Amino acid sequence: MIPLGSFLHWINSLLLWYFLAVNACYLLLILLSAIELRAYLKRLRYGSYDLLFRDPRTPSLSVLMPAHNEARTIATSVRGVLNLNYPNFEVIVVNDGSSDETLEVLKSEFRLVEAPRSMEAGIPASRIRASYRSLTVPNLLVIDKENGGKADALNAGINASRTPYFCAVDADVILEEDALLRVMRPVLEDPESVVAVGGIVRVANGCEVAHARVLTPRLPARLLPLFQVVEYLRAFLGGRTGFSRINGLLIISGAFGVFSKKWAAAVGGYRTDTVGEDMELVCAMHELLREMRVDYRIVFIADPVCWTEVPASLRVLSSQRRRWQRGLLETLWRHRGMLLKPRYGILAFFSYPFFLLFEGLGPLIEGLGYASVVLSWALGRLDAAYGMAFLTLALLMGMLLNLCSLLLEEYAFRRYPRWLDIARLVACGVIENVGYHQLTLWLRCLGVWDFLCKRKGWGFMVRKGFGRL
Amino acid sequence: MGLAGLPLILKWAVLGVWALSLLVGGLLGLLALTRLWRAVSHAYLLRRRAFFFPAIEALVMEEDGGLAERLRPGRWGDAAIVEEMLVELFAMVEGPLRERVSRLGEEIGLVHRHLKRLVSPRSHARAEAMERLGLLRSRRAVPSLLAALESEAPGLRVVAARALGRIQDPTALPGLLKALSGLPGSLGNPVAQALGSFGEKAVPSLLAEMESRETLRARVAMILGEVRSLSALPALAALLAQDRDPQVRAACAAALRQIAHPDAVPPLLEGLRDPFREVRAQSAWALGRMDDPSACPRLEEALLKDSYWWVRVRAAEALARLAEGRALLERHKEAPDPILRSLAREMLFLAGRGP
Repeated sequence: MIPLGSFLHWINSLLLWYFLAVNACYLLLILLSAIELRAYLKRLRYGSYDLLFRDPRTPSLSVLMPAHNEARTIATSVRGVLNLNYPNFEVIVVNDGSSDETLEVLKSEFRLVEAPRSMEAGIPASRIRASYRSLTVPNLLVIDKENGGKADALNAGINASRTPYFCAVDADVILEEDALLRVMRPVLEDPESVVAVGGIVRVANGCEVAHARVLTPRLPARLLPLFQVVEYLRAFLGGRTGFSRINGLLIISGAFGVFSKKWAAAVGGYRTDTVGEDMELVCAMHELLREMRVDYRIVFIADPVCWTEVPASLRVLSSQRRRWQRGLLETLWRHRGMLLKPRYGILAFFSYPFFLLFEGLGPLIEGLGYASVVLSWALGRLDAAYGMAFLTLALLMGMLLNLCSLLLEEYAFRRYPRWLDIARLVACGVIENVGYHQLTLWLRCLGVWDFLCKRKGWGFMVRKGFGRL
Repeated sequence: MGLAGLPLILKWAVLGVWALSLLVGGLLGLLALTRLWRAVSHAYLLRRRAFFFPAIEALVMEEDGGLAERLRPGRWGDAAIVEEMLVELFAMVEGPLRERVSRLGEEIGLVHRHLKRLVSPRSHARAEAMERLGLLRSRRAVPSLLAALESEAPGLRVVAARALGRIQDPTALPGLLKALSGLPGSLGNPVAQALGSFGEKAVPSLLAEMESRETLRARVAMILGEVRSLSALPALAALLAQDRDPQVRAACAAALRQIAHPDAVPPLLEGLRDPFREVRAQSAWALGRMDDPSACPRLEEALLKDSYWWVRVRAAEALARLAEGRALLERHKEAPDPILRSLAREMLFLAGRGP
């Protein structure tokens, strides 16, 4: 039998190497993101969105908005989407069996009347009760269906759409005026190979909002949403931009993403038996396209901004993070065939292992690390210098990654005009590693547990509505 | 590797991260300074803009009196301000005044500044210069932009084409046509858009190109549709009927839809029987724009029998635009075929609601 001391010694070594590997990968991604952002900003200088707006080749688009009990925000969100700059688009709101006043609000706000809509019988979805059109807004279609979940609602929306691309948007987000033009730009530049594009999601809490527009980006006053601002910047600017650079993106946020209808339908649309339907769709498309040996790209653009309200209470955050972790693991498990298979290229050797080891199992490994340190200390096996050095390294590394993401934000977009906001973000990036990081780690561990218990369901989200952010 | 060897790695790692953190902190400080600089320079540039505004106003009012001298950049940042003001003017003025603004850009040295940048070793600088020359509608830049159309990098060719499309100098047409054939797939779209912006002026060259180059036919057909050239109608109709490539036939049907002339009805009716489904869908869509009741029987046939959903949708849409077609759709409102029934109901509803 191995003595406990040697076992701890061995675990600590392993964890150190794991820690170095994970941070090296994050730094690599940030470097790739910086390269991608630089190239993107240069391209922007000689190609205005005005040209896209006027180009007859700009493809028509359906914006799909699944809505379930969104009565408080739905009218504002739909109006915001209807006012976007795009030459030819239709908004399809899918009321997914809401038990509140969502449909009634839509009916009165947009003067809806029942109107038949012929749908392509493509992807299986729950029964449609009725479809409605607006007497005042010609490009609005509302579909009322039985409750089947977000993925099911999106599938109904895909069936109802008549455009080559669709944009899946959460019903509780605010899109910037040119968001559709920006997100469709890669498609227009390369329609043969771009099959999906994701846009950045930013935190709307604290922002000055009016008429479904973010007038002035501001930071939230409370600490919990503030930490999430830093977290979102790190995930989107520092992570997904880098993955996009190497065509290794495994996830496009369900809150805002454009997909080719042809390829989304070819993989059977969104899966209804997972809570990570957004990642699931991207992985399924990767798998199919690689198998068919199609030359394709799945792109992330850091410019088209989608603002969303993030959880302001611990209870809601817990529900969200557990769901995300469960969805991630469900998707990774379903697509485990990708791992280390040469056919899947960068996905097999970088993206998938990254998500599996650092995102999927990361909370458990990191948790094990904390337990091991505590145990080693309790048994008097922890070298004080070693412990301090490791702790300093962990804190500095977390700080470094956050600061790098802020640096990318400052370099590329500068969305927060106030000096005070930048100072708060920097401070937050420094202290986020003590407390908040461990909290999310615990929530993600619970998510892993939920996955192992095969728990289903979405949990809940409490929204204040954009007027009260 | 054992634990004993680790502290050294840790030491190095901690040192490295410290160094990197200091670096990042320093860069953040630098960016803060950049913010400050931006705020100060923005205020200064606004003042300079106000300084040039009377001269721009005089230009719009077509006054004389040393405009070139009044607008000539003197201080730091002036060139960019005056250039931006002239570019904004192009969106507002037309005819001779446009020409005058363009000449003024050349007289005060703005064009020369960008022409110099066209030989920069940095490709992004060259691309930006081309874009600015296009925005300034500088005819002097046409030879340089034509030369850029021969560039090795497809991206630069695209920017050059876009600039030439803005300048609209007829001497650029042959070069653009050549570039159209040299750019693969969607990269040719900006070139096609540039050619389309020439309007009728480009039609003879485009027709000749369509005649001689088989590979470009679909793309050229699309441009002719965008131009809405009546003179291209016979050629498009002939290709819709005869071309071997189904993509070309579909593009011709789409072009005929944009031209929307009654003479296109007979070939489009034939297009409804094309073996390729996209051609049938495009033909049905185009017939919906013709407002010709004689197309109703064939459209109804397509609505009832076609195997492709999109052909049926387009046929139903087309029928709903005509009184005779709506009468036919009324008959199918209770049809046993669910697709037929729902399409008839939907299109009648939309027709009743008006545009």
